[in-house]
Amino acid sequence: MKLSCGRRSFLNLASFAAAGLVVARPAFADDLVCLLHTDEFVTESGDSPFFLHYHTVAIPVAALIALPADGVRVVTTPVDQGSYDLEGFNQFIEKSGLDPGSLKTHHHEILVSQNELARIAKGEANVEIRVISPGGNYVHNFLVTAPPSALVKVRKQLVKT
Amino acid sequence: MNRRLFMFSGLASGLTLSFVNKSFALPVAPPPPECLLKVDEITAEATGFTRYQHFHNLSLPVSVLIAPPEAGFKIRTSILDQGSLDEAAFAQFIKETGIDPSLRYHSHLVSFTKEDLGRIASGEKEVKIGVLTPMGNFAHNFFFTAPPSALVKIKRGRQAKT
Repeated sequence: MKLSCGRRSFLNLASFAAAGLVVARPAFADDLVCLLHTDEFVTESGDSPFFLHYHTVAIPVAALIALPADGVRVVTTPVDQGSYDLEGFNQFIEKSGLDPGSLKTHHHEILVSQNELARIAKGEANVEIRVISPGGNYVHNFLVTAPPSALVKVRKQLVKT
Repeated sequence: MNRRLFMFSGLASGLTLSFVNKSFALPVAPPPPECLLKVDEITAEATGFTRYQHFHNLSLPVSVLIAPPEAGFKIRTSILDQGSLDEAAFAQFIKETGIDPSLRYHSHLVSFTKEDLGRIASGEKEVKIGVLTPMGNFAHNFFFTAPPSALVKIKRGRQAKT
């Protein structure tokens, strides 16, 4: 097949490509680095008994308002790469035989129960959410306190209903 | 223009228009949620402004805590958090002052001195950063505490520089 590209078809292709970039780029950039969006609040993990490292978790304010009976499942960020203890990590890998690649970038799924959500929504400070690994080990805790703006949103919703 | 080029041209124009329409539609649709905190930043929420309660977030890069600039550091807050605004008090404030209602989308430029940054970086808790209005009136306070991960990065960052 003979492919010829005249000026008009070149312009069509160029504007198509440019339009595609405009639509696609912001979402890609944001998903990579954003830890907290509007109408969420964020907490950093505390304990990490096996090797020092941190995760962040964002909790949607909507969950404090709705208080679902089954609680809410949230996913932490991967291990914060700038602050984990590399020496402790290497020792842990040696002892446990776990895959270093996946451990270095692991994250956790956490279930925040309805009762825990209700305590946070009432304004209780440092509500402890414990993270247990699939193997049944205690791996982290998060001490969660809703910021004042989140509590205002909860109260506003209560007034509406 | 031959038939193949005509069809190609029409298809490309259609695709282009569909994307252009989406691009033009973006400002009309509700704005995407604002990103309030990114990796390697720390954040604090403003205390509520007394005339009409509202909040802002302010995120500070860890890099300025590692090496606080001699001249300090200026950074802008998020726009007013829409979901927690006291609407009634805001409407009253607008009525009394005659200020443009677009005030509900304001943000503030906040200045940190080198000393402020040094105190946060040292692990001091609840370091108060005051924010004034353009007229010089009190607007907000932010209370900054670097989380443990940031303190680790600051220590490492400073060791790497020496």
